[in-house]
Order: sequence, then C-alpha cells, then structure tokens
Amino acid sequence: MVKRHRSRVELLPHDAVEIILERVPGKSLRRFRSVSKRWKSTIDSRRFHEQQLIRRRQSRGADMLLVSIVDYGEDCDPGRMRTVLGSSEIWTVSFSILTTDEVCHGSCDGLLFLSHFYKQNVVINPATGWHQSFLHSCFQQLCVYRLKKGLQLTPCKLGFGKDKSTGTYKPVLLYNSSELGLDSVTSCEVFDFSTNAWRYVLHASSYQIITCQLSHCRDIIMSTLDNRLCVSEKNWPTQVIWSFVSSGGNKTWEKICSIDLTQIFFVTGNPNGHWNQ
Amino acid sequence: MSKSEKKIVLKSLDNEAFEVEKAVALQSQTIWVMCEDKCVGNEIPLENVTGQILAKVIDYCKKHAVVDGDGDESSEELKNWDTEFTKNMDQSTLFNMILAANYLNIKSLLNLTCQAVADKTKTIDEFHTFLNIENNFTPEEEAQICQENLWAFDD
Repeated sequence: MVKRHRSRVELLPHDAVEIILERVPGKSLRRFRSVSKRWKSTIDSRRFHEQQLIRRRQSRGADMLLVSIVDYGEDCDPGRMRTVLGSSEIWTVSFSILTTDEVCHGSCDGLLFLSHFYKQNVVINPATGWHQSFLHSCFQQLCVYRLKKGLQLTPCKLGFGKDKSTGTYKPVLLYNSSELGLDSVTSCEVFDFSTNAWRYVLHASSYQIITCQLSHCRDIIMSTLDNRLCVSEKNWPTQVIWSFVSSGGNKTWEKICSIDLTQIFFVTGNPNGHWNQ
Repeated sequence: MSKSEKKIVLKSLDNEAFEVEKAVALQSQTIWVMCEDKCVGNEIPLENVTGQILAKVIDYCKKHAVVDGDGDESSEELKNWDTEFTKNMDQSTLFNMILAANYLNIKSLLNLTCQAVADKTKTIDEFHTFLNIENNFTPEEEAQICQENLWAFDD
C-alpha cells in the first residue's frame, strides 16, 4: 500500500516529472499512466505526445513501426520479438483490437488509425498507450449490414493525416459508393474529433478511384512515412521504399530503404506486416 | 574588472561557503538574474541547497564552463563525464540534484539528472520508492485503468 506521509512527488516540480517521463522507455511509460491522475493526464496530453516524439527522434532517429495484424497467440516465442538493432529500442505492444480489418498504411506523428467492422475504430499511440475509440462511419455501418446479409463488400482505402492549419488529426475513408447503391461513384468520409462525427466530403470524385475487385495483391503500397508520400514495392525477397521529394519544382522519387524480407521474417515471424515510420 | 570581481561566493543552506569563478556560477540562470539585479553583493545565499549538493552542482558547472570556454575537450568526453557524474548517485542525492538544478535553473543539469532517473527507474515500484508517490485513483477508477491496461499490453 502507498505510504501516506508527505511524498517527494509533491516537492518535485511537475516540470521535472514531465522531463523524466519524456525520457522513460516506452514500456515503462505505458505502465506509468496508472501512477496517478496527474501523470495519466500528462502522458495522454497532446503536448506530451509532441515533446516525446521530438525526444525520441533526437535520441535515436525516427522510429520504425511494424504493425502486424496476425494474432501470434500463445505459441509465439516472445524472445524472437525482442531484438535490439544497434542503439534502437524494440518493443512489442499488443492491442486486443488487432484482429482488425484494416490498418491505415502510414502513421502520422507516431499515431496509428485502425478500423474494425465489429469493434469501434481507434487511433492509437503505440509509444504511450494512449488510444481513442470512435464511431463507425456510414460506410462501415453499411458494410456490417451487408456482411450480415452475406452481400459482397466493396473495397475501401483508409487514410490518416493531420490538418496543418488546425493541428487536428483526421481519419479518412475513401470507397466506391456506387457499388453500395449510392448516387456518387466515389465517396469520402472524414472523421472530426471536435464534433465526434463523420462527415462526407461532398462530390469527392465522379470517377472511380479504387479498382473494382477486392485486391489481395500487396506488391505496391502507398503510404505516408515521416509525413511524406511513399511507395513500397515488394519483389520477393526485397521490399524497396521510395519517398516522394518535391523541391524547387523538381519532383522525384528517392529510394529511402531496401529491406531484405528473409531477414524480416526472421525478426518478426511475419513478412506481411505494415511498415510505418 | 579586478580579480575579486571575477569571483563569487555561494552560501549553502547549512552555511557552507564556496568561492567560485563568476563564469562558473553564471551557468545558473537564477544566479545570473541575481547578479544582473545587483540585489546581492559578492556573496549569494542559496537557501534551498545544502553544501553537499551545492558542491556537486559546482563540480558540474566547473566542468561545463571550462569546456564551453576553450573547447579543449570533445563533446564525447563531456558526455562520458556526465554519465560518470550521475552513475553512482544514490536516489536521494539524485532527487536533491533535480531540485537544485530546478531551483538554480540550470537546464542542462536538470535534463541530465532527469535522464538519470529515467534510466535508473524502470518499474512503477521503483518510481513509487523514488518519489513516494501517492496514488489518488478511487478503487473504481483504478479498476478502469486496469481494464484499459489489458487493452494494450507489452510482451
């Protein structure tokens, strides 16, 4: 039980507590959310999220985030998951929601957007354990209905980004609405955290943007890495990631890394993960 | 500037006096402001810091003043010195160093000591011991946090 005499934490300025928390490794940080109300609200705050992100980048460069939607169950050898590469820190966070339907290819400021037909959508910060669930979009409600009726689903694309003018994060859904019997060909829904509701981006496009077939081909993936548009091309056993560079009117693709998938398989046991940075 | 003006005397809570170069002492923003205001003479009383802690703070400031001045030592060496400096500090010393760095407003020392705490205390229990933290969650709230933690867990 916790002692009731005057605690040192009352003497320690909260600024110092914040400086300590920004430097604590991810694993401990997620546990420290349960220390006290003040610590929880500090760790969950937007300001802390930004500070911690800067700190992490300063100390060991940009993080590489590997999202796996495979449930390893209890058979998985956890020793294999804990590998240290150079000065990097590798840790694994499991979210019970990760039997998800979709993971957005790309993260924004270290945050991830996951969507699920049977559970709520969620935005997660794997570094701090902060997460926020939110409602299904109109599209997802329709999909749940169609799934129950045994009807075919239509492909959709997830997006997740930050509105630079307001600083708010926005999950986005893009899908072929005509296949669902709606008027428009392609629809786009954006979630607004301030109103806690999805809204349509009207007349998203009168063209079909996403291919008709539910594609299982994952050889080329578009994503956002380090707030830049990237394309990953997978050609077994190599996966190459290109980053879009636009400076002074020149627009080129720059190769940022090449991954040997046989090594990835060894490290993570799953070559079909999603890379985020 | 005469020779005596370059020196400054810092007096601790327990009346221990330390004569240091002004350049060393001025790394503390608090002392810098005191000197600027000319509200103190050559002797500055520091009512929140004991002699034992102040001696360590001065060690740190001396090391960093020299390096900033003539650039003899590499930043690598300085980093190693910093690591050695906090390595063998016990919890209570480290805690008092943080308070002193905060009171004296020496940003780099505050960062260094906070980093040392972050490196040394990995578990909640260790933090509880370090800070004697009082958990102010109600039993209901605590149950909810536990449930939330089940939601996301580390391997």
